Amino acid sequence: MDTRDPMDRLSSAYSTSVDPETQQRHIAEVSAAIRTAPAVPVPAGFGLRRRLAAAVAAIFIVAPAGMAIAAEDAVPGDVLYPVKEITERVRSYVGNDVKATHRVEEVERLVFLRAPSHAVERAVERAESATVLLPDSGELRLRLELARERLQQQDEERQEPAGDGSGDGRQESGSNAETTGPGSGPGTTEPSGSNGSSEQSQERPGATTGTTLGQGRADQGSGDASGPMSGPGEASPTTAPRNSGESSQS
Amino acid sequence: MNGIRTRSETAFATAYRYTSDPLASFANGMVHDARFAEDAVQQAFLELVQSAPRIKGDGRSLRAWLFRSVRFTCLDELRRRSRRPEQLSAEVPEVGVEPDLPPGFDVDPDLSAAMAQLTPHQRTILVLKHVVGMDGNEIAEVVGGNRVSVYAANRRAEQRLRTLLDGTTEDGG
Repeated sequence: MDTRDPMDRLSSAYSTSVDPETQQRHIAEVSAAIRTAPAVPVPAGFGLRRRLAAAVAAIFIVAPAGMAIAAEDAVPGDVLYPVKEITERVRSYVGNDVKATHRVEEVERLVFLRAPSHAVERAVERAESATVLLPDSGELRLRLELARERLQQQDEERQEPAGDGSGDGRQESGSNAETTGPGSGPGTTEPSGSNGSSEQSQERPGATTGTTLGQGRADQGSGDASGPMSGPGEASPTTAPRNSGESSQS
Repeated sequence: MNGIRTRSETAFATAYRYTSDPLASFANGMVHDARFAEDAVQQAFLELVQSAPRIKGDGRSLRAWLFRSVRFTCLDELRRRSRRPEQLSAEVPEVGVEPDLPPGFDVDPDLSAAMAQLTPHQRTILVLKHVVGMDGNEIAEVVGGNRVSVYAANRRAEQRLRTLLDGTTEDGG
């Protein structure tokens, strides 16, 4: 019997060579197949698969990012408002004032857009409930207060349907912002300033000067170049706030 | 390799001349049928025509691709033959040994009987290593897995083959 190593026997038993005739026939058939094969374009350089991946990435990364940015200005009722709520929930993990700021901004925006009063009122309610939770929401409360005053004025304008156009009304609201504008100076420093600003307009003609009012006037004086020059006479309470308000607006 | 991707006829002819014998040996070792082995080689090259533009890598990976193609053709053929037992010869139940072997083809009957009792995977590795002369990495490219798993499988297959042959002959040494 066979005494060679089995692995050597494997080689000798199965080594096969295709005879030249068959080779020629095979090569001819392969050539024929090449000629009839459908042309497959080879994607050059930037491969097809990579291009596909880029497109998918664009859809799943760029689009949501753009949507989130676009949703920043959304107010309740907008198409993108749910997106804003989602981003808000995520961002509230970082800072807890995002929610309240958004709510107040929405009220301001709705007032600016002259939205129907029931929508604005609902937004004001939500803004109040959001600012209550914050420890230091003085500025936000003040902004909310201002927006609410504007809203009242708008309501009054609506109630008296006089012949004056909308341009006139805007002028009215502008002047209102001037009178309440100086109040925001002290308001930013102390949270109780919102009450003081509303009382300011009534108290100003009188000679009585509260502590908050005095602070406000001192701020305006430092802002104004002519403040120290003019004495603490009776003319400054009426003129100084006007000037400073206009300068801050422009 | 670029000639293969762009389906150059001369490149295909060259690749065929270089690889047809090892491929045919491999297929013959798997199915034990020289005529089928030639068909399997031809089949592999016709498939290559279709998928040439998608093959990546160098000539080495082209070689591995061709062996993989032949391997699948052989495994299909083995499955097909095992489903039709009337084609099988009596002493080899799993794999068919063609009763009418081509004249001049020197067969080792004991060896083929023993080989027929190995699993197709064991046979693949033994044939690729000892008939085609591939190293562990090349075999791993064809059958999958890595060099280590191929070595382990090869050792088991060699042991099994030796024991099977010892049953029929004296110690092979």
